Amino acid sequence: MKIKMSLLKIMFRETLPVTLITLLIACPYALFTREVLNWQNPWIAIFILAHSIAIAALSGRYRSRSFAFVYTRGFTRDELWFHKMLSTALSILAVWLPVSLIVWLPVRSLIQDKLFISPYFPLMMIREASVPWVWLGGYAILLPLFHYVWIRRAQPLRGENGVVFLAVGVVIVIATLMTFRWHAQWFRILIYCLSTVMIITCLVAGRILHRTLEVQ
Amino acid sequence: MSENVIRAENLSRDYGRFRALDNLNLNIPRGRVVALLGPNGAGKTTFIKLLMGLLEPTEGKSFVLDNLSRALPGSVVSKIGYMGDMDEPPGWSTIRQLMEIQAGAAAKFEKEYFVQAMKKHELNLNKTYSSLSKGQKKWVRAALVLAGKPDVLLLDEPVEGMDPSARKDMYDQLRDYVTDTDAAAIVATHVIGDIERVADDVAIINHGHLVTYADLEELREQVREVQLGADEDLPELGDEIEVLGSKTADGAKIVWIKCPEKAREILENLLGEKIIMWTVSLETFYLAITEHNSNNTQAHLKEIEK
Repeated sequence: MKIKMSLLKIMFRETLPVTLITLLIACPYALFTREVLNWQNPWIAIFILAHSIAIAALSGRYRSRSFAFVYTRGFTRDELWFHKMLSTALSILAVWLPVSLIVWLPVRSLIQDKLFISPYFPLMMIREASVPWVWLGGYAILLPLFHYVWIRRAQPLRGENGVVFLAVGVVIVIATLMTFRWHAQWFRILIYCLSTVMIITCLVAGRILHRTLEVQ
Repeated sequence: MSENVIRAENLSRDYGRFRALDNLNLNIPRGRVVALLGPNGAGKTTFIKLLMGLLEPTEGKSFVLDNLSRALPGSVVSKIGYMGDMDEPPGWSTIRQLMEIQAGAAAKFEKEYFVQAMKKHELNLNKTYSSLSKGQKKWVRAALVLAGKPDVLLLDEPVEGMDPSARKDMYDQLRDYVTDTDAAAIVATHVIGDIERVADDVAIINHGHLVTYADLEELREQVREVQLGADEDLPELGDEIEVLGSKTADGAKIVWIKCPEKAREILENLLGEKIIMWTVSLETFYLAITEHNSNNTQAHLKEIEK
């Protein structure tokens, strides 16, 4: 499908305020937090959860005037869905990439080592290098799910409670898994497989349901 | 392809327990401008949104360019020019950005036409949408639709907030466009005087029902306003004369009737000099028919209550 920059711009702009706010929070945190970053950090998990909800909510205001305008220009629903997913990916990248670069390049390590005289750095820099990929995985799981929730809520026959409970359930499961420091290899593989199935299901179901959502 | 580019078959839509549109049937051919009239809450906007595929009908179906409204393919959806009553672009977007968005959607979009339309109304393309007046906003959105060169135009209150000269300009362009391209247009509006000038047909919706769908010229020929004495009634003429509505004012009874010329002649012969009969404007006809329809609905509700 051809990328239409004007449509992408207007969709990205919808989430721009929240992107800027999260960027302003995430970058200083990545630079100055003195804890060694790991995938179990609860603050980062809450941050990713809040960021994902905000993006899904802002790009899912199907009853707003500006959405009615965009949805009635003559684009097909599939085109709109494709650009919505692209703008979501851009909104995440706009936050995730600068924060990841802070971790990957020696910026964070230098500040921790020279400014805070941390005994863990630069040694821990290598260990922290894999953590941004876990954050990206978190976004990849949560955002398709939340987009799906908002699309279900805009259907003629909503059934929204069921889908909200599903989303809450997934978040509780992720939070529970995060409390365990170690997982068996087979269990990790199982989780990866289930997550991939869930992401693909949400994206495919979201795309199909997006064709029939009501714009008022 | 069938002659009718817009078709509604037993179209109904409920909002919870409220039925906004009830069993509406309507066929609109190419080359027609249809004035869609009705009081607030009559179901006009719902009808247009159903045609555009934005809402799911509770019952029935609608088709635009021979395609089901809820499953319009890309090749068709880009041929529909839609201007909703409530939808508005984000306030931060510039006119130029709106032009680019529309150009990305409508395959036949003519930028030059749009730019000229903006120049005509002294609108700079770099102005943000939020900085425009209400009338200017409507004009920008109307120009976006017309520049897209659509085959079907669905316009909901397109001139609300425009000054009289802009309204005239807008409707003149719409009329010329439909005549030149053989497109079809539905214009839902409360400003009846303006649309009367350019419409071919009139469709009146009241309480979700299609009350009238007729050629405007035929209506002008058939509908008459009759003034009688306060205590007088029209003689019984069977089905020849349809009473659309009546009111008593200043010691006289005004009755609006719809009848062929022959029946009018009989009526004039029966009542002689006592009758004063004249043609009516679309606005008068609209008021007569919606009032009559409301009375009928109220009587019907009372019967149900009993």
